[in-house]
Amino acid sequence: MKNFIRVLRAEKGWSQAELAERVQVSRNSINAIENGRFDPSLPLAFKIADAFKLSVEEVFDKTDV
Amino acid sequence: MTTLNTRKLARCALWISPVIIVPVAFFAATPWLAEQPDALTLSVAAAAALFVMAYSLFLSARVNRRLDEVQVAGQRFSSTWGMTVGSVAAVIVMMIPPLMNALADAALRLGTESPEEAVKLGITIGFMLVVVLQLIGTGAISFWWTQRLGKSSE
Repeated sequence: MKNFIRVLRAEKGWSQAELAERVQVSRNSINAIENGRFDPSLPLAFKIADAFKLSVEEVFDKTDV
Repeated sequence: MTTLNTRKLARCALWISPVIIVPVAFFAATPWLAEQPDALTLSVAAAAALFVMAYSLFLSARVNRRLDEVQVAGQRFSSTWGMTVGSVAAVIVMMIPPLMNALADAALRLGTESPEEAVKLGITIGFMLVVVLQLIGTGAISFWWTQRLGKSSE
């Protein structure tokens, strides 16, 4: 699933490790989700969206589902 | 970063080492075991096999404790395929005549009292081989999964 995590991270100036720490997963996991290699569960998607203070739809591209 | 990775690898190797050390020690002790009564030899072989299996279970439970969902998916994938690959590898290894002969020879050397004891030991050694190969297979697939997901385009 496509997402805008990379862009949103860049806007916030966060590294993958920083975002990983905020949502309590590993940096590798953030990397896998960001590159579309792994689709997160709904709770994790909400956690990531919460970290950016956005809705899930604003972080993940539902047109690709 | 390199030091951190080296430290991580060293810790990982340390945790995995008993699964390698025990079978190696068992085979290294073959000459001594051959001179012991079959009951003792069988007990040592069974203890070694049980230890390897129990420790593998303990390791997998410990590793699973602190995993996030991406890592859990990786573990599930690697354990499913690792078990299969390990079992297939064990069958293939047993089909290679010199290796099969070496295993049979080890069982015969240890079970000196009767052919029945040798067969029992052969089965025990075979089980240990399967478990070790499954562990290696799971580790290799887990490593591949981590590398695949970890590939950064950052």
